[in-house]
Amino acid sequence: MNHLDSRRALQLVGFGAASMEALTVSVAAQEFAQAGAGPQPPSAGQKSISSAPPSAIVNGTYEQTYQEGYAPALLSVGFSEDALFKMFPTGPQQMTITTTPTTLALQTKGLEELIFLGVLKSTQVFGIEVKDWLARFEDRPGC
Amino acid sequence: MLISFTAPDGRQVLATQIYRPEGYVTLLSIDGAPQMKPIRVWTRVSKSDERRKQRPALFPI
Repeated sequence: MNHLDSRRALQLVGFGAASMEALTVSVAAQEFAQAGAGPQPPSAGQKSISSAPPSAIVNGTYEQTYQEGYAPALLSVGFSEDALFKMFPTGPQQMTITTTPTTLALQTKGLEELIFLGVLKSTQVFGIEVKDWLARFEDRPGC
Repeated sequence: MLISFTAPDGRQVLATQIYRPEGYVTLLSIDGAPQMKPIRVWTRVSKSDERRKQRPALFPI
């Protein structure tokens, strides 16, 4: 597959294939999402780093089964198409999440990254350096 | 769970992950782009699913 074909594949995966599944999955996904509060736009001064103990419900192995709108959203904030290819690899994506009250371990394809909750971290997001990556649990059941 | 970071173009991105027994949903929120509502669904892989995948496939003749 040449590079142009790869880009076409990304478009299909990122924009088209997801909508094919949307007929059967979208309603359930929206209901799933709406069961919790939707995200609020981050404010410039948002620096809360309070963490609640993570629920045992978080730990486990997950497989990505649906996505909608990720590619255009990430392109709009400056991620490159090449970076997005790293996000949409061929084949199913699986990830294992293990939490403790202070850490979050993400394991995929034998690689593991340990993250300290509530602590700013410099890391790479789709191959691009991000200096203020911050993960924390909200004091709300299910989050 | 909330994940935030500054995107390459300087805008703030907030990912809200909502966990349920059957999996979790990630909702992205981009500063200055409320019309965008990216969503990603991850389904929990159960032990039985893992065992099912490990069984050898039977191919029809």
